[in-house]
Amino acid sequence: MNHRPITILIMLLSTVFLSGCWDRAELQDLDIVSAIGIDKGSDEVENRYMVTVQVINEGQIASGKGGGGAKEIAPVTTYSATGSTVAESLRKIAPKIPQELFFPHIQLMVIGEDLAKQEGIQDLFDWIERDSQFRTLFPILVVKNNTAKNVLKIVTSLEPIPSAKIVGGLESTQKTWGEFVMTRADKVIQQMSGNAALLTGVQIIGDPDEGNSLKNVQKISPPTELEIKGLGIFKKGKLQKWLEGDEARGAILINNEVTKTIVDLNCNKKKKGLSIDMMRSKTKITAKIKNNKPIIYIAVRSEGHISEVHCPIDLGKHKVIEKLEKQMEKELKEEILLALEAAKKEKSDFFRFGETINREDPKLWKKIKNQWDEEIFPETEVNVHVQAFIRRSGLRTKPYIK
Amino acid sequence: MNSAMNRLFKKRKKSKSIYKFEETEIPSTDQGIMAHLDENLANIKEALGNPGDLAIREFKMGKPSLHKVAIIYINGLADKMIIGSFVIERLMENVHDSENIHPKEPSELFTYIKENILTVGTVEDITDWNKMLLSLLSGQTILLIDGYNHAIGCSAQGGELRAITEPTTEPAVRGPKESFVEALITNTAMVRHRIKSPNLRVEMMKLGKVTQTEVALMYVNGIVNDKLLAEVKERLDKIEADEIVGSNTIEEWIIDDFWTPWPTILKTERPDVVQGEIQEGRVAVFVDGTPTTLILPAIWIQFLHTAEDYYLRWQFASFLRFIRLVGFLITLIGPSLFIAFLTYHPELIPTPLLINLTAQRQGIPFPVFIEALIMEFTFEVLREAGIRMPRQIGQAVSIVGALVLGEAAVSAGIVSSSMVIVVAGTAIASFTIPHATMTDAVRLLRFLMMILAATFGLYGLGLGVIVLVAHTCSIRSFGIPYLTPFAPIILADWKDTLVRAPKPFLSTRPRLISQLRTKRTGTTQNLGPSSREHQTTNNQLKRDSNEP
Repeated sequence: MNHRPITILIMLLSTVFLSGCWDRAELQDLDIVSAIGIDKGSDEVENRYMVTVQVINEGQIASGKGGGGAKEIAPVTTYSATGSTVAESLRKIAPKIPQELFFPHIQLMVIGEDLAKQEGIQDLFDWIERDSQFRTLFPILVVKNNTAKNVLKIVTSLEPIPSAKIVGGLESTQKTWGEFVMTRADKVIQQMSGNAALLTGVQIIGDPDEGNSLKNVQKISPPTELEIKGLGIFKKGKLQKWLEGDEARGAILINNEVTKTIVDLNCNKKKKGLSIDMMRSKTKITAKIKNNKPIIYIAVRSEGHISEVHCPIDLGKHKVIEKLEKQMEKELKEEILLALEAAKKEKSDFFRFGETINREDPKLWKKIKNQWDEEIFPETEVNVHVQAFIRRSGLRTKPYIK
Repeated sequence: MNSAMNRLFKKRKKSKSIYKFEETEIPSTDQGIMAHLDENLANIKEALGNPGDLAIREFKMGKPSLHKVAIIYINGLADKMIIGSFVIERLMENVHDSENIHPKEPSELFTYIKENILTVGTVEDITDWNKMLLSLLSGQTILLIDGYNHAIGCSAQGGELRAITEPTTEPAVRGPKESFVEALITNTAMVRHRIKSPNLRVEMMKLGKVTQTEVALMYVNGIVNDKLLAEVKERLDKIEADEIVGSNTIEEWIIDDFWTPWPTILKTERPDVVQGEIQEGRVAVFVDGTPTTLILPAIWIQFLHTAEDYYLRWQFASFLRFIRLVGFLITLIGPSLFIAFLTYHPELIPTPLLINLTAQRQGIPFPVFIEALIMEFTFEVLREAGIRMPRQIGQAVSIVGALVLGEAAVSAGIVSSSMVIVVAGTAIASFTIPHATMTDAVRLLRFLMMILAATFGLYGLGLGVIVLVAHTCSIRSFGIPYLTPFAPIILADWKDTLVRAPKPFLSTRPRLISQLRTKRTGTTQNLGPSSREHQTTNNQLKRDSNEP
């Protein structure tokens, strides 16, 4: 009998069964990293960065196993190491952990304020884009007045994975309040190629060391909490200033990133006695060149409905609504101007007006590019035009107050 | 290295076998029918080995008893009632009263008996010895007359046959409740009941040198493609086997390509399926002794169709077809996708799910692939055990399987609960494929896909699927491409593939299969309510309401 075909078949089969399967990994051999934090290490070059990873302790998160009762093991564990580059520091973590770090499921990256202020973050993100394990879809936040390491070690309530809690809070803030936006890694990296950037902040309320314990969540009101707070203005990669409140919302409005928010207006004589639920907003930025000088036009068109009234006012009348609309326009314009002022003061064009000018007149932009941030931007005329519409008054017209 | 390879591939010298056989022919006798009755009877006894179930009744007929006559039949194959009242009784009694009862020549008597006396359905004049034996063994009753070398074969077949029952492998909730039985004639009659057309043709042949199994070819003349019919006949003629054991033997003899895992001949036990399929131009092959009928040519999508599809409303039938397609895909690549994702692509799993899966896999001693193999293999073992066991014990097997291998294996930490879900889901999905032959094919291919996924991840799985699709495109069933009407694309035939369009829209027969007459509905179609006169118009309604 001719054995040749069978022999060849066996050889082919052995290539399947004996091949190394080099990138094969069992799930239990992976340590899923949920968040990564980068801090300033020390002034020496060898320890330039301190990198902290937050590894998920799956058994504690997944329900079913373990059953009820108080959890005794933390849902996540953090490990830190220092090094002159981020990649090096990450590898230096390996001796401290049981398995291989697995990065594709990173949900959050935080940067310590010291690093952001002193060293700058302009050159920090190259490895994210270079390494195939990373996706650039997680938000990058700056820690306000603290280190990234401390943020990653706070035990949070309701959501066992702290990074998931932060991201969830960030998402819902962006959806309903509009003061802060999700500064996703790909967006941040795009901003880093320019001179100015805007990054959302996160801060610790309370004592970080007290938060690093399961006791933190055993209380109904946890003593240590994490909060999304502030918009950091970056110039050439360094943190300059924190924007908050109206300034911050103005900046987000200019960037056309507000979806929903609440705007408070005066109700007859009562200050801030009426609130508008803004449902839609659209911002258009155009540039015009006059006498070789660029002029920026910001046109905002927003819609909303009345969600709360604290004074007797007849919302059935058209004139009343018109008046409120005028008031809302004024309010939004003020917020935008506040943000503009802050940007001009910091000489940081994080609204990227420069790009609009470049599209309008590339030749002029080439000429003024180098002086734009320092000299021209603070002096540039910006016209703001806001159009506001109040569409509905909710389920009631007249309030019950008389 | 080179010499090693040479040694490896060198043809072995043929060693002479120490077991030598002399091929011998199967013994056959051909004495011819003699004129002498006793000699004939002795020869028959000798040819059949004087079996206990051979019944020979000798008697004399005529007045005075002139002629020696013998009735020969096989007990159990013949109906004794018929033989008694319509053969023996007639011969013994009526002959006395007749005027023509004293013919001098036995040949005259022979003709007289054949034409005037025997009151059974069909009577055959047999001259050939072997043919006589075959008729006898097929259940006919043989009548021999002393002094004449002809035999009469009377059709008085009988014996115990299974009654028509409900279909067991292809049950339908709304469809007809009868299924084929072992007797070929009953089966062909069931289809005849459904198609009362002179164009319904049944061609009988006997296959198998020893078994002499009756095989019937059924088709609708005028719809069937003549080339197909000729091809089928040619392939059937080529069968040179001693024995035909059921329709499966026929299938394996006439199939296009027996290397392919896909079934290329449809098997059914439902007469309504045969009816529908031969109306589309296909050929049905009935084999005596099997309730399973072959339908050919068969295309891939047919194996996802059931008879039930045509008894349900078309929307729901289409939905069910979609479910079956999904079930097919899950059976084929479900476990292998799971393996590929878990071992090579954990980054593609959503984070919460990944955390969950990882938590389940803590402490599992086996790699995912081995775990999956263990579970799939266990399931196949259970399934086989459950089928072969008597029904009462079969239930015990399933209980043990479900409890011990599902729950206990998980709580013992040997397999993860997600793997149990995947394997159980795959098993359930495999039951949605209506035809067992297709299920078997997918069950086998599933293991191939699992190996590919375990070695090369999604890449290997993708390659496997591509190769499989390419192979499926390449095979044919009696000249019809297996993936018709998807490859080649015949849009007109899509109406009855993935969806089932309402009957009035299925106006043409599948094009490649029935090329002779593709139209099967009238040209003018009245869909919806009929013409205006029968409808009550608004005016009429008003008038009616105005009347007191």
